[in-house]
Amino acid sequence: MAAAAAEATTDGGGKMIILISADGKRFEVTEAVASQSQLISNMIEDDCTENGVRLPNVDGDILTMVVDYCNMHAGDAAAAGDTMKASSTEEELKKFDAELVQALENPVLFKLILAANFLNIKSLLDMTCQRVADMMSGKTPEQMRETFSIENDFTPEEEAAIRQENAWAFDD
Amino acid sequence: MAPPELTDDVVEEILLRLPPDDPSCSARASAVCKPWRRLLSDPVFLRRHRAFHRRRAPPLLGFIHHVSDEPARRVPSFAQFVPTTAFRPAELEHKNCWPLDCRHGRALFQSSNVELTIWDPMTGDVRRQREPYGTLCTFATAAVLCAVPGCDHHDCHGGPFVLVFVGNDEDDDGEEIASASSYSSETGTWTAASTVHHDDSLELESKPSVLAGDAVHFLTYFGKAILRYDLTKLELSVILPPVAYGDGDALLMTAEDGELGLALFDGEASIHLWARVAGAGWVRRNVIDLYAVLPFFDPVHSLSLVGFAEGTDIIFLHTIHGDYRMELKSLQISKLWEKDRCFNIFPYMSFFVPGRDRTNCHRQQLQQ
Repeated sequence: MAAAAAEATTDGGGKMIILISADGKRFEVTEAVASQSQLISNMIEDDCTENGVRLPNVDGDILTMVVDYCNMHAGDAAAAGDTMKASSTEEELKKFDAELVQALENPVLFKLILAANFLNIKSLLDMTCQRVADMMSGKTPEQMRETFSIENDFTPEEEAAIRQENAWAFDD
Repeated sequence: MAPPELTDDVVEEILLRLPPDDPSCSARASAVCKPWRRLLSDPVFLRRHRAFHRRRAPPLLGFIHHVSDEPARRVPSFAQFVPTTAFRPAELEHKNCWPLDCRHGRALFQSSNVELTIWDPMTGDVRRQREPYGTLCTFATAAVLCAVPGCDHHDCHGGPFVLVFVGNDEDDDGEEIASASSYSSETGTWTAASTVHHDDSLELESKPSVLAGDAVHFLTYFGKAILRYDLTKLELSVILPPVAYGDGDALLMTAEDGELGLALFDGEASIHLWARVAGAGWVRRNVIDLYAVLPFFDPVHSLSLVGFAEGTDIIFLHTIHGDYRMELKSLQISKLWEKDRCFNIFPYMSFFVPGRDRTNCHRQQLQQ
């Protein structure tokens, strides 16, 4: 990994930029790492990262995770030419991704999803949304409402009709 | 700590990832709140959902087969829906119904000597239609299909449909004759019968028909002939199989490129897969060694080919050890059930759409 990261730095990703979280934490990353965010990639293209990139929607603890994720995945492209390295990297990445989402409590997972969506990091958004979708399997509507902090806006009659309509789905 | 509120686009990204093979998940999610319910039955979202899961064919939600001790047709029996997921139609059994076909989300039964019944398991909608007059039939079968040109059949519930009715008999000179006509729910009429003569028996199998290209295909007993009904020209013709095995079995299917396919069990230990290629006729594509695929295979106890899931490479086998599904590409095998006496099964394949049932009016009220 160290070698891959070093290659990434020398492969034109050498220029560093500063990301600044909502609570003022600063993260120094290479352009190659930051470019996994489509939002930041566009800003780099437009030359407006000189004074650091302020991310008022993203807390420091969440941005730490995002930066870790991007650092880890920046090796992807650099290692692609070397099949041996690429395969082991792929395995490491899978392990890293699985551990990242498995360990997260819901509120943090949701914040990470919102950050991935805001920063437009497709692979991170995909992985985190998939995790939430997987968690919904076997849950009742009440449990889903609790998970998502959603208020039930059906009248009792409407809800009864909906349950009646697909009664098979509600046999707990 | 309460979770932060997710934006609508993020909620859509999450619900997009609900598995199409587990309809109970979508059904429960659609009972969470009105915005979720609206999204989960929105046609644009549903298209995205199918594209996301790269689904060409809808998921298999169950099987329709007849339940009777007597294999002869036109005797009292009932058709049963055997679920393979949590999805359950409002009615699991249809009395005095003989299943003939199931395609594009619709099941077709013979419900009396002269009447066909078209049933949509998702919406519960039932339509009845008299068989065409004057069709020769000591034995007959029929097919149902969606009538909308270019439809992907992912959500064509309640739309126009076509029936194809085909029967066979002997004419006055003792020669085999088959005739077919088609019915359009839009015009409400049967077309004039198209007939075809043949030297050999054209007795029809009660196995699922297959739609390939612009034609519906029906199999005759022991795979001796295939009756092809051209939906554009409204013409019936006979296709001879590449080979017929007296002790074996045959099943119509679609081959990889969508052309007509034929699976032939040779009565020994192999299933031969054929495709009917334009300009080249029958081409053998593959031979499956049953010893290699079915660990218990024993040629003493025969096996039959009972069904095919259109749009996939999955066929269904009946053995004395139970019924199995087989994926033809990967040769993966899984057991459906122990049950026997099941010599034809009709796969019911459909995407689940919350709110698609008899309480349609109620659903519309909710969406206003």
